[in-house]
Order: sequence, then C-alpha cells, then structure tokens
Amino acid sequence: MGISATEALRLSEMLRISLSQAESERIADDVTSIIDYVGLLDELDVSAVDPMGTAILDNAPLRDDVPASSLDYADLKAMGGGAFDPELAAFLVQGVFAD
Amino acid sequence: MPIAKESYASLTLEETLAGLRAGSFTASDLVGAALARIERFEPAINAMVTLDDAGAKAAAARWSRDAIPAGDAPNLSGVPVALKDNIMTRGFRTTCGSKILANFVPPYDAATVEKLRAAGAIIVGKANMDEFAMGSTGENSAFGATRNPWNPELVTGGSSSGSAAVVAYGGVPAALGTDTGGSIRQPAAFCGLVGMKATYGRVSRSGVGALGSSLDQVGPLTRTVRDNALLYDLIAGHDPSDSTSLEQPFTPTLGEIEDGVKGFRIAYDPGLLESEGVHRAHADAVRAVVAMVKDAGAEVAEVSLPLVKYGVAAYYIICACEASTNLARFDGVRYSVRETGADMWDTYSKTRGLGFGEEVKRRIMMGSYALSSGYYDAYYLKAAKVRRLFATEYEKLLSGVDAVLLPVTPAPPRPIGQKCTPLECYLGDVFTLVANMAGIPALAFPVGAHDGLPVGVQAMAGYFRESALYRLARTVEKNVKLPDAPWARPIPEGGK
Repeated sequence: MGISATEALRLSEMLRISLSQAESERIADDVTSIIDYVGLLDELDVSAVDPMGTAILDNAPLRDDVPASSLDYADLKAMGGGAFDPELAAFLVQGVFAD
Repeated sequence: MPIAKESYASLTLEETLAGLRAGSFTASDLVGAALARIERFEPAINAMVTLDDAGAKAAAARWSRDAIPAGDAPNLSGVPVALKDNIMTRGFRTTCGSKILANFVPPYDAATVEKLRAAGAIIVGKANMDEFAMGSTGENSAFGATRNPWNPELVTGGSSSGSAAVVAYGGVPAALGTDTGGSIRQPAAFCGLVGMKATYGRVSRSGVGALGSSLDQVGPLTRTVRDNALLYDLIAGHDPSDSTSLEQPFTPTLGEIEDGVKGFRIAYDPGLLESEGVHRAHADAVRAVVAMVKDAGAEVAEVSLPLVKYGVAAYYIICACEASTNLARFDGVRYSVRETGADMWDTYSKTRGLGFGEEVKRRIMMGSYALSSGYYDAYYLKAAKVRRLFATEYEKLLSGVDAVLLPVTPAPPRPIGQKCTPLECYLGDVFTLVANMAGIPALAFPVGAHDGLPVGVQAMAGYFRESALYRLARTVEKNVKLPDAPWARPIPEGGK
C-alpha cells in the first residue's frame, strides 16, 4: 500500500496546498512508509471493539438522534441582522476578492 | 534593592513570590533581570519568538510591594512567565511557530492566559515551538530551531521547545506549553525540568491553536515540582468556553505535595526497559525511581504494558486526521498571511503551500488520506478502536496502582540537524503518547544526569490523580541534584 507522487499531487490539489514536484515525491514516500508502519495494527483484533473519539472513556455521550424542526426563514432573518437573503436562501457577506 | 542578575535565574517560582512579598526586590527588578538574561541567551538558544519588553515593564510597574497579596495563597503577582506561541494573547502576536500566522494578532486571550493575568503573572513573551506543535525536536519552527541550554549542539525536544529552553536557561521561572503526544514532557526531560500533561479536560483548551483536539492539553514547565503544582493549580478547573472541559471537583495539589508515597502502589514494566532502542541511562533512571519510592514506603508492582508498541501507529493516524481538519481553516482569507493567486482557489493553494512547513503539509495529507472514502475504516476507525484498547487497559491498570513509571523518551536528545525520517522521529514519542491516547495525567521530572545531560522519568496516574503524581515526583526530587544546570550559570558575555 502507499501513494505515488502523482496521487500526492492530486491529494494536495484537493487540500488546496500547492506542492513542488520534489515535495510531492518526498511526501509520497513518507506517507507510504507511515502507512506501511500502521499495518502493525493488523496484529490486534479490534473487531468487537467500539471506536473511541474522545480522550476520556464515555465522557462525551451523544444526544438521541431524533429529527427536530429546522429554523424557518423568519428565524434566520432575525439572526442575520438583515444579511439573510430568502431568495438565495443564503447569508450575504462582504466579498473577499471583489472590490 | 535590585535583585542580582545571577540570583534571579536560580530563583524558584515560590522563592520569587516570597521575595516580592518580603520586599527583597520588586516586580520591575524581576522583569529587568528576566529581560537581561533573555537578551544574552537568545542569540545562542532561540527560545523566544516575540518579546513584550514594553508590556512586561508596564505590567511590572503596577506591582508595587503593597499590591502583592499577603499570606501564603498561591498567586503569581509580579512574576515573569512565558507562553508557548500557540496560546492566544489578546493584542499580541501569536504565530503557532508558522509562517502562515507570522503576523496574526488574536482578538482574545486563551482561558489559561486569562487565569494567569488574573493571578498577577507578567507575560514577558511568546516561546518558540515546532510549527503547529508538530514535532519532537524543536527544529520544525518557521522561526528557527531552539537549542538546548544544557548543550546548544543538541535539540531541546518539542514541541514546547522554547517554553522549556527559556525556563532552563533562567529567563523565567515558569512557562506554559501544550502536550498532544508528549510535547511538554519530552522537552522538560531534555532540559532538566518538570512538565505536566494533565487529565484531558482538566485544563481549558479555549484559545489554544489546535493540533489534535482530542489529545491537546495545556500544562506548566518549571524547575521544581512544587512550582509546577503551584502553576497547575492556577490554570486547572472547569471552563464553560471549552466544551471538552470537565466539570469535576478540583482540590489544589500543592496542599498535599509533601505527603509522600507511603502506602502508594507504583508499577513499572521491567521488560519494557530491556526493549531494543531504550537507552540504558533512561532505563536506569526508571529503576532508580523504583528504588527511591520503595525506600519512601511505597509498594512496587511489576506489570506488563503490551500495547505500548502499537501506540505510535494508532496515535499518528488519529493526530494527523484531527490536524488535517483543524488546519483547514488557514486559507489566507481569515487569518494573517496571504499569497495572492489568480483566483480564490489559487490563493488558497499558494497561501497554504507557502505558509505551511513540510511536516505540517505531510500530516495534513496523511490525515486527509486516512479519512478519505475507502480508507477510513482501515486507518482512522481502526486507530480509534485501538485507542479504546489503550484507555481500557490503562483504566484497569491504574485502578489497582497509584502510578505507573515509564521513561520519557527511549533515547537522549539528538544533535541539531541530524537527519531522521518522519517515522524515526515519531518513534521518539512512543512512551509519552500513551497518556494522550488514554486521556490520563502524566508528569515528567528529572531524576539525574548522564554524560552531562539531564535524564527524566514520567509517571502516569488515573484520571484526575495529578496530586498523586506530584507527591511521587516531590519524593524523588528530594533525592536528586542536577549538576551544572544552565539556570545556575552566569550570564554569558557579549550577546546582542
């Protein structure tokens, strides 16, 4: 397993990180060697283990996953200080690149 | 009477505060001595990214003797401290050691900074670090490597490299760092200091530049165990602005620190100390602590820690995945540096390509790869399952013992500039990242010296048992004297 320099360049494009050819080759080699090393985890049987996304055991229980009503346009208009455009269904913000 | 510059560097935090209360010197004397020492050591060590001379002097002028709270209550009134440069300071540059944040000035203080300011601390500046806390040598900084005050040819360890170095050369008596996989404990050990990584959620992360959000903790680096407990007590506690901060009762640790370890059960893994790659001096340091705590009345238990060898593989997946999401926000639009491109996408790419160093790019790419469709189950999900194995194993172990002892690192600090592959560098964290994976507290403290360099040991305890770690380390500290420590050395001649 591993990634090629071409795949590294493609990944960097999706991540919006410009890389030189030399950098993409180095990083591809490094990522490949790390991925190879991570194969060490295959020695452990974790098929019956729940994943843990927090640092403290059972510290962050999730609320019940039940549907709830969304905010309506009136709520959004009230929140946005006039910036919410119901036609676009979007908040309008000042352009970053526009003059 | 102004403090002699030589005496200042050897003062502990407690002695500094006692001297201020007694009127032996003023806060202005202290800040003057601190800035003088920093100015002379910095050309050789490079511990500080930004100094706040004017702010520190102005703050010191407000701490007359009458303004220092009387009594023995711990506080930091008039005491100079330094902060790792990923801890936000309102109106004062915070770079995270990165070119991409080279001129970023936060609009608010981190929660820990608010606590320090409320306690009267004077922040003299921001300390160098591996970029976005990614590194274990102190060499991955956009502002240059930090050198080890014990021997400037060697690394300090990282990523809290500057925080450790400025305390070790006597610039300030205490500093804050952050620890995601050992970034406080490892430089503490390489610089002869005490460094605490508290229980995850015990110290607020609000206002800290995030690396791995489920792993990061802020903590103190000091020259003595008592000083470390004093500073920890001031920054610990629930913070509603950090959703991962825990609402648990908190008892200050300093009050119990002299209670010793009589009746403690302390574990270590003798087989681990014999493992390939563990330096004899580091293994001997653990054995020395075992002997000391036995003499002090503790019971010692030999245990086996079979999961340690899997830690690096699981940790570097989890950490890279979290880093890749945390660092997505740095786009050249919302923060600091921007490299303008042909269009918005090109601007993003150029800013991130030029602004991030290679280690940061590598981890973002590694993390994004591991989280991507088709690979998620094989990498992130598996690593998250292994993490539960760690947490479960250590919870079980630490329910039967008060602390477990491990080396801080397998090997001593390497020479500055010595080449190693990323994987070789990551393996240096094999013993420290265990505590971050399991969320438990861990304390590194000096035990002796080998070839003129300090050697540390770390102790880990169950959730919220920081007090037990301080009692253990304080017991050991009474038996240890570090030879020729840099904070006891005179200010070098010359300088800038």
